[in-house]
Amino acid sequence: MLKHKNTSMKKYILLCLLFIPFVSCKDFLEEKQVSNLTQDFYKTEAGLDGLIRGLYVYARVKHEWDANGARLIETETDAYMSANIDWARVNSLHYGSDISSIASNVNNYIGGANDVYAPMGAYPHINNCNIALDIMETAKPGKFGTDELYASNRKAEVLFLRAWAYYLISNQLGAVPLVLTPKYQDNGIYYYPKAPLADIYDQIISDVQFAYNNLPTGQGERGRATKWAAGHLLAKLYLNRAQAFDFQNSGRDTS
Amino acid sequence: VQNPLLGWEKSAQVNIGVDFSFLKSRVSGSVELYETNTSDILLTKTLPGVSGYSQKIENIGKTQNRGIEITLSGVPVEKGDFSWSIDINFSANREKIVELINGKQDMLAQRYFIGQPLRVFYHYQDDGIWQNTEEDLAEMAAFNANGHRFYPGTIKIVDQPTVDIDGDGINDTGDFRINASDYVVRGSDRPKWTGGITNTFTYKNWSLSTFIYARVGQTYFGGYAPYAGGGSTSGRYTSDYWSWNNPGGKWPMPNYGNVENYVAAKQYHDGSFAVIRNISLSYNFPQAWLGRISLNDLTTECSGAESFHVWRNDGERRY
Repeated sequence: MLKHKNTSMKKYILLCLLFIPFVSCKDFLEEKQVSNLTQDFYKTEAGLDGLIRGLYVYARVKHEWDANGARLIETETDAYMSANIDWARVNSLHYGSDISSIASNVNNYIGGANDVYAPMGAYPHINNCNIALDIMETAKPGKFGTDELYASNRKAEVLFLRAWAYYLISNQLGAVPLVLTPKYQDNGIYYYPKAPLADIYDQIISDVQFAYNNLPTGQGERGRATKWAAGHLLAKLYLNRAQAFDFQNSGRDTS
Repeated sequence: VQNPLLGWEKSAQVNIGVDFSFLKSRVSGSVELYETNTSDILLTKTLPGVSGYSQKIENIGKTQNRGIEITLSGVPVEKGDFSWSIDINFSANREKIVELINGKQDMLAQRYFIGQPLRVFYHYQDDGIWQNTEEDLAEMAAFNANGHRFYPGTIKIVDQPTVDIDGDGINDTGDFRINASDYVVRGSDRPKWTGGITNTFTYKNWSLSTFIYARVGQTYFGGYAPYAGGGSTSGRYTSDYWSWNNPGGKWPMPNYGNVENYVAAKQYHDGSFAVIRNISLSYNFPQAWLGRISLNDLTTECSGAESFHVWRNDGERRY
């Protein structure tokens, strides 16, 4: 360690130190948080538009798709196998032994997996649809309040996407809760009785009919639902209901 | 989902401390005891998916931290030009979870257990190697009837009691299946205590100082022997494998065949150690020399910061 004896240097340093306390901020620093988006953002035109675009994430969910298809309730059988040597052997230890994976698969399918990104659960998606419909009904931000055609077009898309979720989960699971009101916060009440298939089909058929009547034949933005997509789903719903007519859980009221 | 009631975690702390100094300041130090109770810990609660949300962060959960910190300084020898001084510090901390999402219930998926530290190792308990004895062969047959593939020379796992035979409410035997119900807490990475000693010897202008650090009681995970024997990437050479001629071998028989080895269970070790963190030798040039070249103070120092172990409780680590 080296130290220089230099008294004149010390004086300068002392002078500098004297001034430091006087150079300070008068006000507290005001922090502007820009990263915190709350659900209030959906009540703006840009936010609502973004929410509706985001709903299309659920369009990726199909029956054929892995955990929503065969793996949902037929895991660890010869119908569905993991690419793993132990499972591929399907020995007595593994064959149909752990039905708990069915419970977790169904839980993920309807909402347990996550409520943010694909493949998201059905009910988080349905809740987002309900939030979008509610804001279109009440707040009507920007173009959603002024441009009637634009608003009905967007509403038709949301109803189409919500019906798609109910179509998928009722196909796989039968009677499921029919949630049509938005939930903005968790209130600790989890009473969700199952609705009969007849009620679910009445709801989604009328929703997709609205979509068919209000969607344009071509959308400016590629990927958005069109009249033809709604017509296709509507046909599927009618056929599904007619096919199931003879079965016990028929969507049509047979009493 | 948003939670507008979310707040900060709260901590209440009690400290008792004593500073002391006696024998004309030849011995001095301090003792401090503390207890911190933390409440409103942020934990993620799982919500039923039908509600439209899958999880919510809430202020629930309590933990407790208790500990002691001791520092001690002394000068055992001070004679003429020679002096020897010691500085010791010691600290011990006990961390435990008091309450979780559902009160006094463990959260298995998150590996949170009431009464345990926040981070624990939770896995099977190993019990040596299956031997080629009548007793072991009979037990292995009972496991293998349930689909296991145990064989002499594979790792033996403790089948925790999960079956109540005599109906007294206490489980008294295993079910001959190794599964999630056989997991136990294998330890924590938190040490039971840590401490350090600094010894400084001074003779005239020379001074020699060493710092020894110890961390005791933590569990360490890792260090599995390479499958095919020989040296591993960590530089360790292992030959103590189980074989028909070496039934006392520590590691399972190297085997790529159709047998079952729960290798993770064999990798929890006592990680206690003591290391020399620093040795330094310094020389302080005499004032009389420095005055001539307008210097106040000049020290030359030679130190080794590379730490090496002086003691290790576990013989498995070689790197």
